[in-house]
Amino acid sequence: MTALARSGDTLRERPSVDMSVALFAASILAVGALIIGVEVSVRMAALYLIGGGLGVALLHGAFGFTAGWRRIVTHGDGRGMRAQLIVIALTMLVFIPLINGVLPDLSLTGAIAPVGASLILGSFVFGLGMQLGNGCGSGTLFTLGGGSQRMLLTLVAFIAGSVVGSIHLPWWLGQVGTDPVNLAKIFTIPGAILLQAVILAAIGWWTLRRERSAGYKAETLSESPLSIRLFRGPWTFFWSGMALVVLNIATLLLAGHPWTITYGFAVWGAKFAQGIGFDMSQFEFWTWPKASTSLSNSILADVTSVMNFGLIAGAMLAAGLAGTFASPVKLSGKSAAGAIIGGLLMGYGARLAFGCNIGAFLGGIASGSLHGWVWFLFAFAGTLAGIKLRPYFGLGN
Amino acid sequence: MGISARKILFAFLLSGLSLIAIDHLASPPLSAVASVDENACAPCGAPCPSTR
Repeated sequence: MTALARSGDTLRERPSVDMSVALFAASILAVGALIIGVEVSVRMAALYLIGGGLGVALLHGAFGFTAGWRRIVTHGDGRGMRAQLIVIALTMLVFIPLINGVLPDLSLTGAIAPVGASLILGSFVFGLGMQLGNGCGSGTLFTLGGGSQRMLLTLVAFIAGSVVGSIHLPWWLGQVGTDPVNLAKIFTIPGAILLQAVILAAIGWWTLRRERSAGYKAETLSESPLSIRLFRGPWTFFWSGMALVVLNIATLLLAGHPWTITYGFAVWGAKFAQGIGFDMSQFEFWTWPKASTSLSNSILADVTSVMNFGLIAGAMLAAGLAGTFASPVKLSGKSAAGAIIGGLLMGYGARLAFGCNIGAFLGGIASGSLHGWVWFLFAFAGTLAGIKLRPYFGLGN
Repeated sequence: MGISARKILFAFLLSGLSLIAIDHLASPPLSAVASVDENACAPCGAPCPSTR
């Protein structure tokens, strides 16, 4: 869908709306919100629908962190990376003041985490894995919702890796490391925003320079009428990015913390393991208050899981409207191996690094946490290694 | 002719929905489980390295 749409498609070239998929996904969203609203809370139902909105925005905008990072390296195409930087910058303008108590009545927590060996290794492993898995945390979910069979393998492996990572995290936290560093506490709120804006602008400038030196020329977008593109896609990075900013702020206000994804995978895996007879409470991670509560509570009471469910359904709705659900793709053995290894690495890395591109990179930097920048640095290094390995798994660059 | 991608994906989604329903029905009432996280130092609830 995206490749076609971004290379200048016309209405006649579009596949027709896949009504069965669109209706199924819309029903899942509507009935799911109703059940969650009755069984859990209206607030949780709203978060489920926010997840749905994120799924639509990610799929229609093809807003993939993995491809954005890869394309600036391999093609000199910096549009995806710059869109991510702009999303972080705009989100930060709201997040940093709110998280640091500008509105004292609101009790909000940022994505702020320790810096140390765990973060460094985890982010590197995650960056490598996302190139082999061909999608990060959000990418895995929205492409799965879009009908990718390969992502089924990636997701299952992602969940397995998350459980192993959760078991190992306490040991890693005992290695060299420091407590979280909130930049607003050091530089004040305006100082932290200014400092981060300068760094984000410098990275954006580097992407423009790289684009010029690589001679990259952007392809034209679809000329379809706006009203049709809104429902059927494709969205520009700008539309999609703005939706992510607004919905992430809504998540912070409703959930009390930024949008996260991969914690939910660990909960799913641990619940499954518990269901087949493993006692997860023997592992330290699952004795911590938040994790033990997640494990014993209904999955519908876990914000991250509920938003993930909404995201998959939203992406499925968008794919149905675009008529691209489950486009036939031949899955080779090498590609399947890449999906599984990538998923395992991402799952393990995300637990050690306190999240993925959404929870640690976007959420961390937008919260003014030093760990977000360290995550970015080492995940990008991992991505460079992953790009070199992709051909061995039958993946193009 | 093998099973189509759509059927595999729908089967996966329906299995997922079933697991969600089973988990929800088998879980204790939400009000019965406290959620206290006073010493958390990271979004996942990890304690601070300085306390370890």
